[in-house]
Amino acid sequence: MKFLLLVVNGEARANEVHVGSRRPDPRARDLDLVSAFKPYPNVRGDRNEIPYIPASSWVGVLRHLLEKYYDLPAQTPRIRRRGGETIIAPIHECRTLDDILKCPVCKLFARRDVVAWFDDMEPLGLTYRVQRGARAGEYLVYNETNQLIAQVFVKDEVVIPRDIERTSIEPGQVGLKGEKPLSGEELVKQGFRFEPIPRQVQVVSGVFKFAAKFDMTKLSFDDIKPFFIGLALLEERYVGRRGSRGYGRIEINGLNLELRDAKYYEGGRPVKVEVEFKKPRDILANWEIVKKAFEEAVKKLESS
Amino acid sequence: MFIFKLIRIRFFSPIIFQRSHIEVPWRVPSDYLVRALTYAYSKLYDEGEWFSLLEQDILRVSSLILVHRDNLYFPEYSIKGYVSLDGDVVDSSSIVVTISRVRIPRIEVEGVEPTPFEDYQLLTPQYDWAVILGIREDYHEKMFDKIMASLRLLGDIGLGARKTRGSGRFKIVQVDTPENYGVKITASGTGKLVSRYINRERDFRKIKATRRVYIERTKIYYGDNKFREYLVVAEGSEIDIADNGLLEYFKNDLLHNVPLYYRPLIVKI
Repeated sequence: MKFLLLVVNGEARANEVHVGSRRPDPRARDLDLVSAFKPYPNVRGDRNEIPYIPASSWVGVLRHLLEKYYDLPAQTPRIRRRGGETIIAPIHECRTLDDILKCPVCKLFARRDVVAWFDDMEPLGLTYRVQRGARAGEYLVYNETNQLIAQVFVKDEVVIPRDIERTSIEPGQVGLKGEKPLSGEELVKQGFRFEPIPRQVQVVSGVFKFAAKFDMTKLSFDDIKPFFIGLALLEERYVGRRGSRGYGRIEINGLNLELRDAKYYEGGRPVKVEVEFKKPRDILANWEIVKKAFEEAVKKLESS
Repeated sequence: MFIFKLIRIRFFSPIIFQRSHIEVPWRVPSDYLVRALTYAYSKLYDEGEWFSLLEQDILRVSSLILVHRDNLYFPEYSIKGYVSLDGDVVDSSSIVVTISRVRIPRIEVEGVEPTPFEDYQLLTPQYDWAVILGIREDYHEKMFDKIMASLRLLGDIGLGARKTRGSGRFKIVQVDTPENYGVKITASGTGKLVSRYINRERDFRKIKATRRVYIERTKIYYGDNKFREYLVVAEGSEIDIADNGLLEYFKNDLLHNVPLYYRPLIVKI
């Protein structure tokens, strides 16, 4: 079969997303939690980086949600060892090629012969200007039409101490020796004060573009349905940290599909899959119509 | 006789390299680019046609060249950085960072456990880059568009590791000639190497150094813990080359033919 790439482009309206980074913000080194930035060409303004949602984050969440949706076993352990501590994060991953080809998730996300590529979510636009905001660690991202497309801002939060009477802390957690948990009174005697602890968290809101590319020489159109299910699930959940507190909400819109063959890469135009549905749930609700539009677009491409 | 084109590219995400490299990967060498192009070309066109292109010495490819203020900075092994023809230097340490990860074995075998490891990121979006393609004159018209199409596809699906998660994306921003950047490129003769190279006899003692030769040990991985180790002549060597270098193949764990492409490309100094 001749080369055929299906590209799904879309926009994600992100609200207060915190995808963390270990790299400190060069202009606000005392932030407690920093957002992910990446270097970007042609960034005009005072920071040569843009905020983004890495594909490893949003696709990681999407895959995790699909594993739950299809009730797949988490039979492969992801393990991190740090000091004497071992963290285990079991995930689903089929082992044999036969199993992979039968699994709706691994068929897309876990193949040695790669069939799907996902791009980072980046602010909507082609070129950017990044300006400092009102506070250290805050940024305004404008695109080439001078539209304010993303805003990085700092949120002040506090960690409220729980009741002193209900406190029970293992000594090792606060740098003390001993095995018996310490009560609130005992901690006070050791010099600890019970007060809210302020912290500053960098989050980003804005409209982000994204793309997913599927090798349709190895996939059928129905094989990519889980991707749209994953997008719909993503809207109900969150990306990044502290989603249980309302952060990291994503709304998907502006979905469009196009086909690229060898002629496209030789300078030709992509062929649009003509569908009016722009949201993942609408595409899923009208799957057969979208599938037919895809088949029509393939025919158009073959006859061109 | 080759026709040389300079393809200027712009990255939108860093390239990730696995730690399995012997040294910190401070550049993208020519043989790495050829393997990536092999993947892209075989997706679009006949794989056999590509291999015959390599075997008949129709194509020469440079390592990735850094472009800064419209000047070309060639990879220089001695300093693990980039040097322009007038001696200006871009230090690669400013564009290489380390990220921590964990390697998970794909099979459950007692005693085999996931291990923490580090990946390297080459922060390519900080600069523009270029690759010089040399296509033999009699094949230029027939092959140039196909090779460019493969390069465009490569930009869409990425270069390096973790391509499925957005790494190594780029686009072509300009097709030009090296002469317009003030450099003269040749496929043989005397000058500074801008690709990796192994001489046909595989005998480095027979290489004619005009000034200095850098020999680099490199590993090429083709599956979990499966690799081959090679000694290659590295970029920045100033030598006199009379042959067209070496091409070999090996099979990776997907049983694909993987080329080891060490044909030379030289910038006149």
